[in-house]
Amino acid sequence: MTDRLTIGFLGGGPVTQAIHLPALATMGDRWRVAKVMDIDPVTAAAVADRCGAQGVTSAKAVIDDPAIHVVAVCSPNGFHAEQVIAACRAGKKAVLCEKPLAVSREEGAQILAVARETGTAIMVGTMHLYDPGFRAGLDAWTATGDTVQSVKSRIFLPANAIFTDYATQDVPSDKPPAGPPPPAPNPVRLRNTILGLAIHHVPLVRAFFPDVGQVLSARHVPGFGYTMFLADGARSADLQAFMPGNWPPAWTFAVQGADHRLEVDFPPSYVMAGSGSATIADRSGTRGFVYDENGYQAQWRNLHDVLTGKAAPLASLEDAVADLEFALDLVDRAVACLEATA
Amino acid sequence: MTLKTVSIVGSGPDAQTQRAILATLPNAYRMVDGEADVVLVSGKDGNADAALDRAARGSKTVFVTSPSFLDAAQLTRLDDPAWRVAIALAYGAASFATHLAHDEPPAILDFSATVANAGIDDLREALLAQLALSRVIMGEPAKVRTLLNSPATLVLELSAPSGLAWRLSAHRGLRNSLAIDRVARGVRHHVAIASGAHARPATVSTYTSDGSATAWPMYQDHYRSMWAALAGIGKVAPYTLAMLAHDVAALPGTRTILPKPGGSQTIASEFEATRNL
Repeated sequence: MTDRLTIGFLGGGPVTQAIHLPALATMGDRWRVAKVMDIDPVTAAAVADRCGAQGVTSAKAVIDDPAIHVVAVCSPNGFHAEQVIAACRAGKKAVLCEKPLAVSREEGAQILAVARETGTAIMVGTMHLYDPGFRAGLDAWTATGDTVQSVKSRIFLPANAIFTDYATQDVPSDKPPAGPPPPAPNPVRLRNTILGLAIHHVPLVRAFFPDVGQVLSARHVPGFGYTMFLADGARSADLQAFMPGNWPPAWTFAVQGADHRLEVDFPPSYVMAGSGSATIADRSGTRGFVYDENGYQAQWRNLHDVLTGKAAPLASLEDAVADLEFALDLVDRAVACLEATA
Repeated sequence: MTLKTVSIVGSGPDAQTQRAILATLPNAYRMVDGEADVVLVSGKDGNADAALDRAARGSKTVFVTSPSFLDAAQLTRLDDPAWRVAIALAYGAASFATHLAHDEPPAILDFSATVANAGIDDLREALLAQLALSRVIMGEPAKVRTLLNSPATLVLELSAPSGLAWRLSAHRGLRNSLAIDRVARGVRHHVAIASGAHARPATVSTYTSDGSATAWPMYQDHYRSMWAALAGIGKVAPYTLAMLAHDVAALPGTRTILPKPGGSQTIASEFEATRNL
């Protein structure tokens, strides 16, 4: 129990309630939630009460609390950078920031500089990068030494609310339910879907397709989706997403090589349905990898191991910043492609 | 059912495949050497001229496989009023296409094939078969453009007048396969053909708010469907020489302008198109 570390959450919304708190509840010997901050005092108090924490309405109350070792940033994207930097400056051991880490290259560079200065460990909640099934598949792929020909990411999901109902019982809120997003031009919508949806798989794509290269086709798909086709030399990446659909989810990632094929089929992120199911095939047959922990559980476990000196981080901050830069390059080139073909 | 004779020149990969399939239709076809009712003209086997010479000795039908491998002169020779032309593609106007017809237009449509031990010509052939299948599902595209033309991957983007765009792709891979995803808000379809085995059924899954449903499997590929249709068993969607010329011209790497077919060579007149295709 001496290694039990404390967490303070910034943001008490569905991601905190339905993803992080249930994941942390499976490793109570490692983590204790000390504070939950939300601008809605009712939400803050109710969510905190469920995990024996204190509800607060000020981010400062979490960041400045010396008893809190780790800050979990689950606030709206525009707050991420300033809150991560403030947590570093406050001497936190670590920050786990939901994706995206920031919304500009400048913010990414600032985070990197400050974290190097303060020695704060920073992880981004790109859960599939930590998913044990994906990582086993990645290791198996790396061992083959094969050359990547093409990458395909597909995210076809129903409304998130379907899954949060399985994962938790939402805290009643006085806030009006979120309506449809206000009308926006397609380039703005494309940017929002890249930073809101494609960002989930950016680290996976980048592991096999390091540079954005040329965006040869980009389309915003109403309601919240996209199709994008990227090529870098002879290597290509095909990214597709659509939500919400009135059907079961399909969340997959595939890599085609000259002699091998890696496929990963992920469960929805809001439920603890275990890891993605990864297979790697060659001419002799197919091997598979699946585990009981999902990516968020694996990430919290890795973060605890890092902070207690038992393991190295599965992904570095430099990689996380490179992921952000890849995502922003993708935004710029996809929007330019969309505008050129409109 | 009238027994038809079939003549196949040589023993290339297409010849072997079609012999194996014809063996499953013994009441309809009988293999012979020399002149026959039907002659197989394979682009891939490299003996199309010899096969066409044989067909010119009185055959009523030429059964064409791997047509993207044919050169312009061979395609021109196909356009002959002496015979009917039946063009068979790997997954051409396959029967599973009927399942993808739906009132709600797709938000995303994607075709993706892998081809084992593929050279660039095999990838072109896989794209050609997808073009034919796409026509059945989506109608004639307004625009076709090549997104990627590499030794291991060919990608086309097709678009409709509505602005909807969809992709066809062929990748060099471990085994022959095809996947189709059709995504609309109310219904999602996934089609998977996991190998090139003749009797491997397409898995056609339909996802709705009720869950998922899988269509009854049909244990035959498009080649057998085409042979069966020629024998009066079942139907296939039409694929004409004009369509072939149009589609071959759209393939990456096509350098020559193909002749426009002058005749009315079509299998549509012989086989009624399946309703809703």
